[in-house]
Amino acid sequence: MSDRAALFADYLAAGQALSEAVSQLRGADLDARQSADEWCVRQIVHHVADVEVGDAMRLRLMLAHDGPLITAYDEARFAARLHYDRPIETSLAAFRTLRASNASLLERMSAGDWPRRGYHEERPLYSVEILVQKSIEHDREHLAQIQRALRSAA
Amino acid sequence: MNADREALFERYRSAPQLLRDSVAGASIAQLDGAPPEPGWSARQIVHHVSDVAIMGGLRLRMMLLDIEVELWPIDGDVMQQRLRNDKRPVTPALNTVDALVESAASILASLREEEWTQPRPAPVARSITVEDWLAANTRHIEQHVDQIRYALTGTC
Repeated sequence: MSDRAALFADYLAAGQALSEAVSQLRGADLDARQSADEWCVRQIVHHVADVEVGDAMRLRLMLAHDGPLITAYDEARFAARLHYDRPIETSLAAFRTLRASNASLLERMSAGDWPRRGYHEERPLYSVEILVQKSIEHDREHLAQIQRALRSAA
Repeated sequence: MNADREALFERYRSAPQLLRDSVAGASIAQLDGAPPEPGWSARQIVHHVSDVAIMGGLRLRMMLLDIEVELWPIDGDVMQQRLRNDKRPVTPALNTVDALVESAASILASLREEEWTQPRPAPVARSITVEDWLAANTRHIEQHVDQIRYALTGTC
């Protein structure tokens, strides 16, 4: 398997693992958090969905345009302003559906599409390939955070 | 929520089903057929609606954060070509529109009255409200549903 094929497989697997970890959670589990200064599971689900919306746009911009500006977001403001006390179902569905949609774009890309760049406000290097790598890391970090929160609440 | 806004909200939530219905039963040849006038095929229109639903979803979130709503340098024809929209299946795009609309509806349903009408920074119009966003995003899907019907049947 090539490095990019492995990266693509990890991208799908990381999203699926995160999605499966929360799909059966209900009630108090969604309010579990590791410590007072960490997000609860519900907030993490909304966060990963919002990030997936942003990544879907960034991916399309980088594929369709040459060197677009990639705006950075303040995730704490997202949590404060986007009513993260909402039910999680629509956010979870958005995360899953956008991951599938992004994957359908990635699997049709040519080798020349992977290094296509964007100019990120906070990162000196940013490209389609880096977006996918960061997305995998992000999924894994938040899956681990959810697992810690659930263990703390048990 | 007042009656006008509630009616618009329901139109917005119904729009993805209109889009799905507009291509239901269409053959591959019909989805890819040249429209009666120069323009996009039904398949390309569905992908365009999906791409704009993603853009709209991000814009709504940015508006609520009071980040100036960007005017991304989107060229619809370039996007069609670079994203290979004429080759990709329509089902993931239809599912994306469903999920993005329901996700936005969940955010909208949680807003306080003042959040609906508060002017938000925007580069050209100078300000935009969440109500404006809802009207524009509803119209966008509905107009393209008409365009698909025309592309497939020659009538709206």
